[in-house]
Amino acid sequence: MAVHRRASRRRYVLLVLVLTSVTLITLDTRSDDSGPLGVVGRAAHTVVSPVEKAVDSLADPLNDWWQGLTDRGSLKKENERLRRELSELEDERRQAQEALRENEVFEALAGLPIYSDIHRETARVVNRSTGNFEWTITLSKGSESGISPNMAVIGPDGVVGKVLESWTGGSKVRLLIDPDSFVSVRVFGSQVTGLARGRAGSDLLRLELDPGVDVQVGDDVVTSGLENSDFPAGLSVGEVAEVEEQPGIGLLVRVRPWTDFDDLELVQVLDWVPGGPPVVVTTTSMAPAATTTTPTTVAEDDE
Amino acid sequence: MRTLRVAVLVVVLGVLQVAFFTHARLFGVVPDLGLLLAVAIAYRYGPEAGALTGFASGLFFDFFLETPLALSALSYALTAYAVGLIRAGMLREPRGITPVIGLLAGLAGGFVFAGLGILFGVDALRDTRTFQVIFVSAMYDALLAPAVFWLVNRFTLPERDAPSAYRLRP
Repeated sequence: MAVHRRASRRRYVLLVLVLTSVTLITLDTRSDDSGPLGVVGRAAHTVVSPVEKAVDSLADPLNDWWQGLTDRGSLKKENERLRRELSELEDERRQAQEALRENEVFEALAGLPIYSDIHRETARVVNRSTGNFEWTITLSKGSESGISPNMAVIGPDGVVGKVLESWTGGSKVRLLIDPDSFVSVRVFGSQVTGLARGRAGSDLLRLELDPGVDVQVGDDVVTSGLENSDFPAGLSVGEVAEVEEQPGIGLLVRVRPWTDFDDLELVQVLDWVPGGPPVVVTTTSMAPAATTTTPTTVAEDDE
Repeated sequence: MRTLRVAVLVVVLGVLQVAFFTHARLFGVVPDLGLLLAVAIAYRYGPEAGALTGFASGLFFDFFLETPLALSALSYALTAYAVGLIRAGMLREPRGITPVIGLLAGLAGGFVFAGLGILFGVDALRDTRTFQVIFVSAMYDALLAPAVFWLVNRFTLPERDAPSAYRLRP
């Protein structure tokens, strides 16, 4: 009798958990972030943010060690062993080099060809995709710096993604390569536009175009800035990597983003609203962004 | 008191999951510490405790994910419940079983998560890479399972307070 009662109770508990879960899933998928669940989520992020930043500041040497263990094979491990043998002087030299390298990234970000009247907030990447089925980064700055959802995020080499959510002390950015990510793009130097989407398990963006349009491998791809686009026009996205003709449907174009999403350290969040001013881009090459060429406005190119 | 200790473990492992293990990926994949905790609790205290722990640890993790809230909670709870039921039917405990439990629970939890995710419209899961991720994540879980089981045995109440069917045999 007691065993039967215990089994019934177990099933009852499981049933309650399943029903609660299904209710929460339904509520979450049907509401935006302003609801009570969003508030709790932001509070959780706010609480954990300092830990994320602290871990990130300690994680670089550990990351190198771990990557050497899992990704880079014996060469990397050998490199790690040699590093441990370096003297204090060598450590100082490396720190100085790190500062110089960081400075170069800052200079590249500062030199991005964008109108100065678009406010840009520079932030550090402190964490990467929390789960295995999303492609996101976490930034060191959030709502306290004016960062809010849907703001465009760029890196030294071009578009990075869009702010998904922000909280005090941090924000989460959905990368271009996330399957739920999409950006309105234009093939540079032409009027060919389309919607580039991320694709699960691929570093390439997927762009479907009408049949017969002139697109070649190697063409530069920039944001189009069409109405309601979350990105200003003219930001470099990547280059055409593959063009595949789909009979009766059109062209399937795969775009390789310029941004190396695994290596991002510093990014800039653009305080730009859809319908805002265009940006200035170079006339020759779209990437890397730090190249110095005479700027012209995309608005002129579009016309 | 046991509930409080398990709650502390949920928070500590949850913070480790979102702040530390995102930097310590195995072939680009993170483990499921919350699932391991739930499974360890289920193994020690039965399906009911495991399901409740799985729900709590999954929900904590869900707040940091872009997938629908409570998707991890549901998959962790179901997996832990199943492990608890299977554990109750075991006559003896083979040596070195914890990595095997970690591996199987990781696979089961991963497939339950992916299946429910697809059911609830998570397009990112409709890809062949999902299988690869689940498999690597389960391997990672297998590696970490002994540590999590040790933590549960160390920080929850003494052996005598566990239900008799779930007491560890020497």
